[in-house]
Amino acid sequence: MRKVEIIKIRWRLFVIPLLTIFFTVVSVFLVLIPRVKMILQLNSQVRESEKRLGRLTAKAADLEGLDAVALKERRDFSLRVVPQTKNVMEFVTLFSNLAQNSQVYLSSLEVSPGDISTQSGIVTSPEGLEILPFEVIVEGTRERILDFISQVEKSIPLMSVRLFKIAEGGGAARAQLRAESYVAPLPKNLGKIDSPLVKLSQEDEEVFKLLENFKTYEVGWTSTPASFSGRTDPFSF
Amino acid sequence: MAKVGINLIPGEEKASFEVIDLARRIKFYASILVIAFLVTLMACFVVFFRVNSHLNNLLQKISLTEAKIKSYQSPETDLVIVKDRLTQAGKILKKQERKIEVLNKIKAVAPPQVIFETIESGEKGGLLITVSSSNLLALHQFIKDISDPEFAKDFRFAQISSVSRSETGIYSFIFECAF
Repeated sequence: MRKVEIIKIRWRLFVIPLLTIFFTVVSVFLVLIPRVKMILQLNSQVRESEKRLGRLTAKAADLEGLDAVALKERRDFSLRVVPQTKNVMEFVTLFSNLAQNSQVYLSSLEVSPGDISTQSGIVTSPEGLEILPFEVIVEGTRERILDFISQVEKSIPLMSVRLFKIAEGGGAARAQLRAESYVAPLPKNLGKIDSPLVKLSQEDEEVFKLLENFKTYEVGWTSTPASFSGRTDPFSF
Repeated sequence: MAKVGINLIPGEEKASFEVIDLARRIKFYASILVIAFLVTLMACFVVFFRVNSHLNNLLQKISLTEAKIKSYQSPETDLVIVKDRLTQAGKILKKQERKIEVLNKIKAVAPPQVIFETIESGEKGGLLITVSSSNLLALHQFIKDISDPEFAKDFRFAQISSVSRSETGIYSFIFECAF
């Protein structure tokens, strides 16, 4: 009976400290470790946010230094160099004017625009851009024709001569020309906040300067005044 | 003189003292553990709130900067378009320049009696030229010049094919090269 009493007293002496140790250890696993993990997670978020803020601040500073008006003009010009849609009449105007300027007779001009949307284009150039092919036949002296050919590749919208066939006879020459102009959709990553601000390289500036000297014609503009006659409404009889 | 330790506590009582001592020690360690736990927990809370408030501060600054960038969206879009188009134009112009360079190189060795009837650009940066002349000697000289290893070193390949003579006495051949 006395032994039972002793065990009860001893048990009381040990139970509180042991339970304290047990609950403290359990609390370390249930409270402290998740809290520490949370702090580490927050810390990595802070580091990422600091980096992002640095990037965004630099981008905002770069954007502040841009000349919006000049850029808009450049954009309009660039979209004429490689347009996003197939503006067939622009090319018809261009070839007519180039022929007049080079003093050659434009005897034939064939354009097959196909799908006029750039989103589902089929034909692509070696440069990976969608193309708008032209077949042109010009007549004139050899020198005038060669001048016409050189002007084609120095015009806006940009064009490349893929085939040039010349036949001479009786002092006159006749040349068949296969050219192609380029069409491209707008870039996909337009104005994304986190994308780094693109910068124009020295090479881009040189290309721009070069293109500024290229010939460009507005649709409907001709070197000689145009005369109109006959019906003006295509639906009236 | 060595001291002699005499334990006068009865054996049963001695055991109970040891147990009490052990209990005290465990109690001491438990207290230390609880204090350490509470101090660490407090420190964790302090660090957590500081980091959290720093993060909130950063997120606020980020949203302000984002709003600022959004207000410049139009010039940024223009810049992306300009860059894209100039890059495309640069590639096209480079190919044209190279083609003209090669044509000029071929033209430089061509005698005046030789005519380039057809010039065709291939898909992979090649050129296919139909050369003709009524003067066999001039044509022979031209073939000799373009076959020279020094001349052909700039080309990936250069070959001559379809050498023929027409009824009118015009000699022609096709010169194909890739650069």
